[in-house]
Amino acid sequence: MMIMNTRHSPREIDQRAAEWAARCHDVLMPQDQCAFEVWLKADPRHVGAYAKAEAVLAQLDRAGAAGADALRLPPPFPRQESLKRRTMLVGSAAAGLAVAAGGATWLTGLLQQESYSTRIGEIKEVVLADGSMVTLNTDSRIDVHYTKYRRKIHLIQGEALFDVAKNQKRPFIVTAGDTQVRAVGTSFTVRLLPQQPVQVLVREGVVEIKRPQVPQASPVRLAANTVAIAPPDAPISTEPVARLQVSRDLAWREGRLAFDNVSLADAARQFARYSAIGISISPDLENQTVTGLFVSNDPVGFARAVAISLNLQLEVNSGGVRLSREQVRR
Amino acid sequence: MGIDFQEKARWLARNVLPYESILRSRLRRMFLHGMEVDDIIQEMYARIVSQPALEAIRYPRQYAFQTATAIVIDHVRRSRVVSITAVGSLDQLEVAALDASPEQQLEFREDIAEVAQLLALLPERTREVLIMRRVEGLSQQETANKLSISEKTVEKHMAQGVAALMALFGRGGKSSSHPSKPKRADDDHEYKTLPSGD
Repeated sequence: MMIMNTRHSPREIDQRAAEWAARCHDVLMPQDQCAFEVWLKADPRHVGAYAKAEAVLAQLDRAGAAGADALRLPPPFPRQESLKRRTMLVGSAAAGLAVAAGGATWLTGLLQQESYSTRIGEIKEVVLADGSMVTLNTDSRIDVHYTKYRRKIHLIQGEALFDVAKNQKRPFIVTAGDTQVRAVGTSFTVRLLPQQPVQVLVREGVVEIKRPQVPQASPVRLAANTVAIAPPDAPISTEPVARLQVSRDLAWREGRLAFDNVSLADAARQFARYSAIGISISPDLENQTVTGLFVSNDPVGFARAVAISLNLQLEVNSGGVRLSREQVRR
Repeated sequence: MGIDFQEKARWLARNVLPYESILRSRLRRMFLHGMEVDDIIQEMYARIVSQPALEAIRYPRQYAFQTATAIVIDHVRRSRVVSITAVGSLDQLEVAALDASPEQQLEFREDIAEVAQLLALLPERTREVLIMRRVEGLSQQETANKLSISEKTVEKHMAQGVAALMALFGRGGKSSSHPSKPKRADDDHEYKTLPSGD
């Protein structure tokens, strides 16, 4: 049943389910057993989340039949180059070699300092030491600096989605340019693109945005489904975003761009972030709008689909592709 | 709650968990009004785990996809605003269920590789705790001693590890680790442009 009144987010439920699954491996004390059953009965989604948590552990057991070492070795087909390097470092540490190897400084399991980046057209997911997840969009870079009391992230460039693990005592702070976004446990994106103001989009929970260098600018609290724009020399502005639009704005996680009545000029600009192949639009077509779901690093495919459906001409030249009105044939 | 979760978890791990990400991407593509994909997935697990006799289900993957379809239909019927897009795109889920041919059934070996791959994404300490506790079968206390951390911290790492794996199985999972599989190629047919305005 979908329960629509005040409720926990699916992620919070998964988190709780994981906690229970982590404990139920041992025999629960009677009072805990009771609390567990109350929690299960409170919402059918709890049952589903707990079933999945147990399934994850069961999958671990199944894979473990191959021996613990098979799970400790670096995987045979890593997803990304830089992750592979990280995996190797961590893998060798686990094998009993020097722990403080190279740039990966592991003070304790919960302190962490590392950088992650993506190339143009690449998308990457990273699990941080506290269980928070970061999804990096194309051409983006973050520095992670975890201390005992703060989880600090510096967004150097690009865009990232943060799914923050809840921890009241250790705020999660993302800095982008002169703007700071502070969260406790929530899900939001921060975008820092050249010649554009910092943009923050909140998907779940609440975040607080402030500019430490501008003391007179008071902090702004941002609720779920709201976007904030922080231009360098104007106050932070906020506006609500429809839930549907939020999921469209996050289509990049799937390697997609979702457009709903977006002008061709705007669409071309968005594609430019994901590929070196540019799309140029003839001036008379710039305001023509398109709707649809496209592969973000395939600008040619997009241009071809637009050309076919709008009956336009598509030229391929050295720098990219160009869309214009079809020439009248003699 | 008379559900034996541990007993059913193996069935879910084998038959549902590896396909969750495919199902999610299908659902996400439907842009369902007023429904979160996360909610549908949790409810799907809830409905399946409440089934008394899982072993009797002959085509488990189809069953999972059909369960998700039923949840979407229930919701569309219950909500006043009937979303034509939702109803119209339901067959996308059916298609997904049909292509569950035997050759796409994952090999056990691939499952191991996937688990290893996802584990590699976790922080080292968390991964080590998961492996010691579940695979090597050490008790919480033994794990704590071996790693020189408190039992409370072991429990925390366990919970974090399970939560991270839950998210990873749902998001990355199968589809992104096997980009050459045919299910990727057929995606191309679904990118459509609809000229709007003029």
